[in-house]
Amino acid sequence: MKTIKNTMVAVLLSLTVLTACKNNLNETLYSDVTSSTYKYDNPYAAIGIVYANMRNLFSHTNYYMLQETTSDELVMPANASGWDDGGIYKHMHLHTYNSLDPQVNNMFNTFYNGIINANRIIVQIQTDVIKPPAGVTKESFLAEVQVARAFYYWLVCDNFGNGPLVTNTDKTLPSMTSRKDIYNFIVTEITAALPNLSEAQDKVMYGRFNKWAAKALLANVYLNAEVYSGEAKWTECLQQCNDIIGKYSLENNYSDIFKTQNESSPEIIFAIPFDQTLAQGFFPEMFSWHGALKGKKNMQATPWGSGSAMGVSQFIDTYSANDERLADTWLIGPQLGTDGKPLLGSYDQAGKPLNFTKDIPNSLFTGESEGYRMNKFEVQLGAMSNLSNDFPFFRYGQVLMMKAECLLRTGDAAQAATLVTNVRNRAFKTAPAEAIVTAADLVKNSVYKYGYVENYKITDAGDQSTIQYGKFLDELGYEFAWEAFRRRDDIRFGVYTKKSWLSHKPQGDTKIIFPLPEPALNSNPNLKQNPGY
Amino acid sequence: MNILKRKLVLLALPTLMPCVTNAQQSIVKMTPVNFSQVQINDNFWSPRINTVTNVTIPVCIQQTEVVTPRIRNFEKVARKQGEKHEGIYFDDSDVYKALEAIAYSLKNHPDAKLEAKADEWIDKIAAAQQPDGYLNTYYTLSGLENRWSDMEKHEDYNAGHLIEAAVAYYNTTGKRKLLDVASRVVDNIDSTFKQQNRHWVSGHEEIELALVKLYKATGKEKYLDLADWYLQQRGHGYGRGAIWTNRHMGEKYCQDDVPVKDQSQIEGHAVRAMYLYTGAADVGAARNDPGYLKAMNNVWEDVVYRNMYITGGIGSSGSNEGFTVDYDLPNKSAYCETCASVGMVLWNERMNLLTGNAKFVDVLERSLYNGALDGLSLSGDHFFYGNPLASDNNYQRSEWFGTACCPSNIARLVESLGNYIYASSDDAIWVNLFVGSSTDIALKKGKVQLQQQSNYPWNGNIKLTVNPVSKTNFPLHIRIPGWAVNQPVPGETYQFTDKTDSTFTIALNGKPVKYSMQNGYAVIARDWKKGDLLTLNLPMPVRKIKAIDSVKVNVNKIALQRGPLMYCVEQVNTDQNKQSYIVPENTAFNTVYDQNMLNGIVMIKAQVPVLTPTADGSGIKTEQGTLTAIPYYSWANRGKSEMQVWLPTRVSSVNIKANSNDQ
Repeated sequence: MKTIKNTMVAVLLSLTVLTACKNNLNETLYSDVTSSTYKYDNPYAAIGIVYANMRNLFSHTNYYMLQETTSDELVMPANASGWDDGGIYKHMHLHTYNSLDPQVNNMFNTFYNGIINANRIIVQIQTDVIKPPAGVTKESFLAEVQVARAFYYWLVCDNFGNGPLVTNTDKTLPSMTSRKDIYNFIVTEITAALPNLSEAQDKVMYGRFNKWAAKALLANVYLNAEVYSGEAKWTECLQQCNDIIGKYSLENNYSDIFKTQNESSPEIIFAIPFDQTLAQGFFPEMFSWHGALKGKKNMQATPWGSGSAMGVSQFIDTYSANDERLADTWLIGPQLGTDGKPLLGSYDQAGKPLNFTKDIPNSLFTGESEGYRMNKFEVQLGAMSNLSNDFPFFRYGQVLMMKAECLLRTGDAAQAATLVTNVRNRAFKTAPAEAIVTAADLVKNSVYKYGYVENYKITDAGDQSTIQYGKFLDELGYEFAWEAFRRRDDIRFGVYTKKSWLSHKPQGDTKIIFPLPEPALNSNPNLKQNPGY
Repeated sequence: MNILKRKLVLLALPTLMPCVTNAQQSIVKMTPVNFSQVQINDNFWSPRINTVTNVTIPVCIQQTEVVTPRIRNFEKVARKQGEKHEGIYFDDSDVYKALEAIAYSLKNHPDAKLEAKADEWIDKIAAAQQPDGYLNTYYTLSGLENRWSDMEKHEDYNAGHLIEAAVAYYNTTGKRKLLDVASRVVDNIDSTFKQQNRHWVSGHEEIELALVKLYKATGKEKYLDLADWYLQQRGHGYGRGAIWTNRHMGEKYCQDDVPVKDQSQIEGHAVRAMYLYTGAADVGAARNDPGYLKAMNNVWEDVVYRNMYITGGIGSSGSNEGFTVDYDLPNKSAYCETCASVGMVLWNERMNLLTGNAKFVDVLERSLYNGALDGLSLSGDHFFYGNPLASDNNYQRSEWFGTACCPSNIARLVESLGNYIYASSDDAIWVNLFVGSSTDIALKKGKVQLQQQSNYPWNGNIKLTVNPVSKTNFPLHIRIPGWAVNQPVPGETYQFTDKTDSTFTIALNGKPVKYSMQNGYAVIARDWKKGDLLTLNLPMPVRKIKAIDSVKVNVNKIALQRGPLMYCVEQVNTDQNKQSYIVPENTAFNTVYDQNMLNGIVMIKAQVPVLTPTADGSGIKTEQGTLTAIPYYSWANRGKSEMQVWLPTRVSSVNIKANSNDQ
């Protein structure tokens, strides 16, 4: 483990002091500690809870899989092991999610935990209860927490659309704010904070909002502005991307961005740091891999059942065979143990060698060896259930692709093609010519064969209208699968509520935003459920 | 022209008939004449309605507002001081039911002071409504975050009674405030539940029938959709909460084990069942969906053929407030909740409207005059929760109950009695109950005024004056009660011990008139003109009823019926000694009207063998003595008493008491 990570983990860990300082054997009367008497000796620890909370986004029942399994890229079917949790994962694929689905509630709670803590910390910084670290101005420290709060509000705006906009520590029950107003708030907050943010890219700022991470956030907000507010902001998005360009660089090897020790990757702009013991919460292999794959890496944990999260075969079909991202992203074919012997199935393939095949019959139930599984994030030898790979929430490749999209949409397909080619180069080392895309390519329709699938075959093509810049959407898929962008991209490109894939059929535009969760509605009668739920 | 009209009538009747006679189960478009259009002016119900207005409703108000904290809970919600809820989680519904009774009462007897009280309550109710429309004092005071977490907690039951009160108050006063509150409550329910994969089984049905009322009052289809949605939630294993986790209850308790359209057996909690089937009939009628009707017919037969008391009461068991097994109809421990009899009135009305069959009104009348009316004391201020068919001297009506569903329920039924007398379609009229009254009915061809005069239920001479605005041809359906044609109750369980030939007669303007019998109605289709006087004579001999042997407790017993009323023998404790008597099947009865007895009743008297101890206590002797029977509804109005509906025809064993304290 590298020192950067040690430092960061120390910062993030100290937040636990707030809640459970149980390692001190001296008796402490916790009832005497209140927010007004507590001494915030370590300012980084004081703000750490806002960042640490982000780790909660990455379980299979939270933000992460909601972005992927509601899209045309990933699906979590029930399988031979029987793991289905009452069908809650199917709701995502079928777009039949409702206010009772625990994923929706978990996501809402994680967002607002972050927001409420940020509100408190902002007040505490303003009132000097929390003093900035030496060498950091109060304005700069405040600006960082405000951007972190804006990050959560962006997720609220993106996923729930409408919601309570709370910026103080009042106890009054908030009412609803419209998606557009939340969007405006986010833009205003980040824009105001930018001048005060640190430009440093050092280990102290790792996993925190420096100016570039804030700009990457703002660029993402602008990229989807038309969805949020009805008004596109391509020029504004482009401006933010241009400001970042040159500050970071692409990783030479695509898979290195996602390896266990990826904290020093030159590509990562904003990471959510994870550690298998000290900062847990990232375990995609547990809900994607078959239990037998424990033997593949001599894991200390057994992945759940026969695994679930897998690629939608229609999406996999769009890859070029020469695209190294296919194998870098997906676990394919026969699976061997560390001893070189085949790993065996336990359910419908009991005793037979596991061999992950591409095609899946539908989203409801698959065989134990069907469907390509997660290979993007390295599972190191001897891994525990929680991985130590940091999650590259914003990375340089994404900034380049955002810039390319802005150019494409504002009429400069040629320059967009150059950027896309730049990003593709590293993935076509054996067939470099194929990395090159042209302006003409990018305006083509997607090659994705949309349609409703029954028993491995498309039985109802559904909407077959041309997707504008569909080829570019395909590119986003290859580059960012498993990185929680696909739902947003599907919405922006008009796929999300129009096309059919696997067992999914369009369920109407109201599905673009999730329902507010029932527990939130129940406890606050000022809230109003989103339309269509 | 005349010939053409006749042809049309001939055509019209057969199209109606298939609807009501065969198994095709299409739906008849009969609508009840609303009580607000019916002026009751008889000697039996008018005084009862007045008593409910002058006594029962003030009692309900006093109990709801002063004696118990029901209104105070609403005030606490509005105050937002973190005060605790008092009482039970369904207590809000008692407020709404009292309001509904008040609304009917205001229609019958306008009263500015009473209306001001209702408005005051409505203001308090409205002030307790949450911004999202939710309205429930229990959860709002005890933790809103827990709402909609337990399907047993009556949240939608309360909402249903709110809707009924709101519609009633709007119909009487034209004031929208409570209707708007109720609409917002329902809109909140609609947005909470009408999502994909979202399920909710109402743990106590009621909202279904209420939503149909709201649909009719507002014309908004979504309320009917929601009612149908509620029905369709049942029977799929979606139930969660206290009913479903309680092994003594389970899904059957609230009719959630089988989808509504597949139900054929009566089971579980009786009031829940009645409200469910009333709602299902309402939705079936509004949706023209025969699926519900088919199930309702099957369940109805299961109730009436095998699980109903002769009083029209249902739900024999107190432990589940409901049904047990077929023919399990104990008398002394009969539960027969007043609310269940009210529910029988509601459900049978709907079934009659759906099918045009009079047998449902036969049952309605039986439940109304006996099982339901028994729930209310003659004084109007005491109430039965359960209505047993036999009693030792330990059971009397109460002033109020912790679970106070019955008082306001009987109050609203009596005040809205006018609903059940007449029904009409575009071109036909039905007379269902014999209650002195007048009404105007608008047929497509023109308005028809009806005036009914009788001394029912004491006397079966009924005069019906038909006053169309101008000469009008339409079929008039007069219900011929089953009891008047040797069929006390549909099915085999209860039979008269003898057949009588003295049958009903119908005359028009003093002369016999041609009629046809259809579905229990005498149908007279003709050109009606102003002043046509129809007289129906229903002879009212005392009839003896036997139950089939499957009802084991009633073997060697008879029950007495005269007209629509069941009788009982009540021995008030001030009588010297309790008589032990038998009533042999050949006993001759005579009747006497006593206007001073129990607000005026016809008593049945007979000379029967009375068994008494000999003076020296060495044995028993049998002598002739006088047995007096009174209408069942009127018992327990003279202090503690012993009572029996089913009377022994022979002795099978003797139980000797050695002294007066011997148990």
